Amino acid sequence: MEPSHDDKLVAGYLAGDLAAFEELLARHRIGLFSYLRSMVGSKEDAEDLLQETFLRVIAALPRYRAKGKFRAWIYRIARNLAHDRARKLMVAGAPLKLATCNSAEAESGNVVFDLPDTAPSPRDVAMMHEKRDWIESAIQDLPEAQKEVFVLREYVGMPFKEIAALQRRPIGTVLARMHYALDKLRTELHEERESY
Amino acid sequence: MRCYDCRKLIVLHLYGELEDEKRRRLEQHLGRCAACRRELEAFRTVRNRAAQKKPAGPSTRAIDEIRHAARVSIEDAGWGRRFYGARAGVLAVAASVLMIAAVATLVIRMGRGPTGPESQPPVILAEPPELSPNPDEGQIGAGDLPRQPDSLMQPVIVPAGLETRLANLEADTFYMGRELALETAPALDRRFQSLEDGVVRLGLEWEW
Repeated sequence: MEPSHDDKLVAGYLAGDLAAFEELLARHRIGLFSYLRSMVGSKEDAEDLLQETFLRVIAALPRYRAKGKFRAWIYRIARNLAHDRARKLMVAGAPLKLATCNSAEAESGNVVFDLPDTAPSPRDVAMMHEKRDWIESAIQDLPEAQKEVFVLREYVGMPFKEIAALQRRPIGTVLARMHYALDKLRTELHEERESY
Repeated sequence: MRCYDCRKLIVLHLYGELEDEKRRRLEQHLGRCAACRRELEAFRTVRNRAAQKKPAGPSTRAIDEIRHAARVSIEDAGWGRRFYGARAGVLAVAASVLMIAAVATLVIRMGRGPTGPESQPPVILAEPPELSPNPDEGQIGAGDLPRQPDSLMQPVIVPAGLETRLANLEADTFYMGRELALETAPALDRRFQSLEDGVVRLGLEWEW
């Protein structure tokens, strides 16, 4: 099998080429960060998990077997870490709060995939109704499994087959989840247009 | 093609993942079915709106820390290469001597029988309680495992049958107990494939 570009970069890094790692990081950091942020909600938690993911990747790279599936491998590590975090929160008895709308972030325009606060301030409500914020809250309101498929396909560019492998579900299930997600977003979009 | 079939393919078509033959048939259907055409257009509009909001990246601080870890790792490896490269001859002799000594020690110890903490008998993993049929609810709480190994690297025997049930658990189903908590079923599954006699070693590190 022809090694993928990622596999070549991994080999380069293992041979001592730091620039190869830089390219790997550049190729995956935004996609991974978006994915993690959609999973955990807060920017800080997503950054922590992103760092943890790459630290695990760096430690495990010597054992990585190049099969052209680097992206699937790194996203599985990230997914496991996000699930670990959620489970630890549950074991610790803390409520599993996925995300809230952070006013400071919203002000800076950096809100990505944030859930609307359960008790939003009037200002937050107004912000949520702004056109530019519509897509984030609509995506964040999707059920977890549908949101994961939508974010991976739309923002990471992962093919449906790869998503099916990551979620360990048949591809038909993944396609149905995407269809439901698009359908819900279409309805939301329609309602949003009606309100203007 | 019926509308029902069209809707199954429309998502693949939307993302350009449909094979040529199916795409041709779908396009034929879309040419004569206004309802399916409207659905495809509506989905395209959603995609366009989603594309307007590109996700932001992580902070520079987070990326710098990752870079630092990569640099440290590569420097450590480079130091190892230089060190071993310069002293390859000496080290080869030293390694040979050590290997002979290790083999001799092993032979002597085998003659005496097992002693010491490293020859602890393996823990036999007993049946956990009945798992929920819903994989998402199939967690096993702390204390469900009848006995934990005394050390993280102590071998654990998984009886036949239980092995299959462990492997059938979802990726996000964990065994919780003491600090020995981070095991996922797929990881166990892989180890079953790589180790014989159902003996696995439970540890905090994931293996891939």
